[in-house]
Amino acid sequence: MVLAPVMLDAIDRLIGWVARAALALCVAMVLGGGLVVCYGVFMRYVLNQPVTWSDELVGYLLVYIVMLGAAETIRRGDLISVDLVSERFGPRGRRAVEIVGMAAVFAVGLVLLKTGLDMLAFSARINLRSQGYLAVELVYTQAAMPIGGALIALTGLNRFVRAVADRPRPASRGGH
Amino acid sequence: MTLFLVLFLLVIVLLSGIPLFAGLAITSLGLYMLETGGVSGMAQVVYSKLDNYLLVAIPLFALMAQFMIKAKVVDDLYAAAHTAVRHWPGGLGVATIASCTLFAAISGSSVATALTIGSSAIPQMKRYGYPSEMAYGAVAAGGTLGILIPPSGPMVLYAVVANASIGALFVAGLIPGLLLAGAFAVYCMIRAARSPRTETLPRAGLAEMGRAMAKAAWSLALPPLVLGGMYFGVFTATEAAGVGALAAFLIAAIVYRDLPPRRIYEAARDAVLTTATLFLILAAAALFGHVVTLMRLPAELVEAITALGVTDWQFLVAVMVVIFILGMFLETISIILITTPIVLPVLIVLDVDLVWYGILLMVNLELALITPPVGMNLFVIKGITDASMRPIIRGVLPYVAIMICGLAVLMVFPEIALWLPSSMAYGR
Repeated sequence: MVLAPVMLDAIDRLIGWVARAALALCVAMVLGGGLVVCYGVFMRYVLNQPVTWSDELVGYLLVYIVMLGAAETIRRGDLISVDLVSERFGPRGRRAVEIVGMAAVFAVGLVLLKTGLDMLAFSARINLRSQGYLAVELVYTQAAMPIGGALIALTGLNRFVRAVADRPRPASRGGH
Repeated sequence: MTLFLVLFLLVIVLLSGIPLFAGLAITSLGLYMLETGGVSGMAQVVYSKLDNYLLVAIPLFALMAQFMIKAKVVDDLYAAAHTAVRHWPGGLGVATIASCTLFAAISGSSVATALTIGSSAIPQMKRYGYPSEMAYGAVAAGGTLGILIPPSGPMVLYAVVANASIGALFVAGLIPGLLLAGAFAVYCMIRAARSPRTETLPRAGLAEMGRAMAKAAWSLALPPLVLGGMYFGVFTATEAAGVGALAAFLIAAIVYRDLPPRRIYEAARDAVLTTATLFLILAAAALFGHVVTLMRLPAELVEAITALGVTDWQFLVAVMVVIFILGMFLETISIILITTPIVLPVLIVLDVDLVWYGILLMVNLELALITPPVGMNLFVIKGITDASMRPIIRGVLPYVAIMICGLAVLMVFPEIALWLPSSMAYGR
């Protein structure tokens, strides 16, 4: 690896900033989603005016929460793994597991990015809209897939490069 | 044969130590490429799985639990249980099990239950002469109740994958959960009676008990609000989770006056991270389910089972044994998401009640949480106490035996799980 450590750290900080910004958005969405659900209950039981759009909206929010929140989960090393075998490895073995694992994360992120963009292109071409009350253009809800895929690929690549350069972030949380 | 090869390959990849979601996804993508020569449509498969109103219950239940954890209500729950039963033989053990049962009904998570109750209960039990093994076992096993006693995140996931009723599953989990908790408590009393060093504390006075109950009253009111709303058809599971999160927020902010904006952010952040961690595995499992269906593996299993004339009982016993073995090595969410798409078509052909199977699965997954070498609650206890694994494992073994008996009883008498949902007119 020819990348200087200082450059690796700068990239890591930049990716950390992006991931935390995405996480902050997710925090707003989970709190907002909770309020939307409660608003639906209030309108149905107190004002007897059922809300027709709340179920559909929180479903879309969930897709964004997962796809945007994934980056920070990967960056923190919070991903669940079974370390039954790898905990017996020495530092080199664990580094190899980190390299292979993060290469896999990067590959999965790329697949979600590529196929997510294909999905968006298809939806945009035929102007696909949701079947529910919102009748929202699906490109807006489906955009979570390529955006999330890109973030997953980026954070996976960052940890992969750091592992190859032997400047790893803390390893994945063990046990589960 | 292909099915076993695929499962074998998967287990090898998952045991390699790489993140479960990546291992499951990359294996599925590899098989998909072998079948179709490309990866087209994969984002659509994941999107369709995640865009599901029912699944919104999981982050909202996680948010409810986080508000209650951040407000440290668990100390009051434990104190209430403690004052009520501390004069019984093994009273602290019974209080630990009771606190786990109550907190399970708030948190919906076994790990959160063991972690939160364990921090209070283990030092207390040790202080009054309880053997370490007994303290570790009570918390590790009591914590597992989190996935059986509603609300339960794993139950929601199973319900979504199996297309079963979340409400019926939640109702069905209640009696088996309470019976298991009762069995754990009885074991604690017997074990304490055989340990001469354990102290039995004096009975709490009415005033002391009243004060403890009053402090815990708001937290104790949360499960009836959430579960009662669902049981009586007022809320859907997702609505119950949303209302529960709001109620937990109000309890933490107004009653406990301990929820500054920073802690609200932290609670929501932790709920998001928990959700993202679990749902990445769900996304990968969606790919796996898609590819095994494409390869006709569940259909082949159905054909094989039909050709062999396997009965529903034989199949269920075989599946439970396989899940028990998987549970020694994999964690609960992966087991639900990997096995359910494969066995579901057979369960339907054999006319097995999906709610009953769901409860059997949850009890088996409770075992997975405390069976070595990979049992999440064992690691939780190790993390809290810094003890070696040997006494922790010795402590949980009696509970493993109790749970296996409980699983067998539930298999023989499905009514234990199904009576309540059927009496409340939940369909299958």
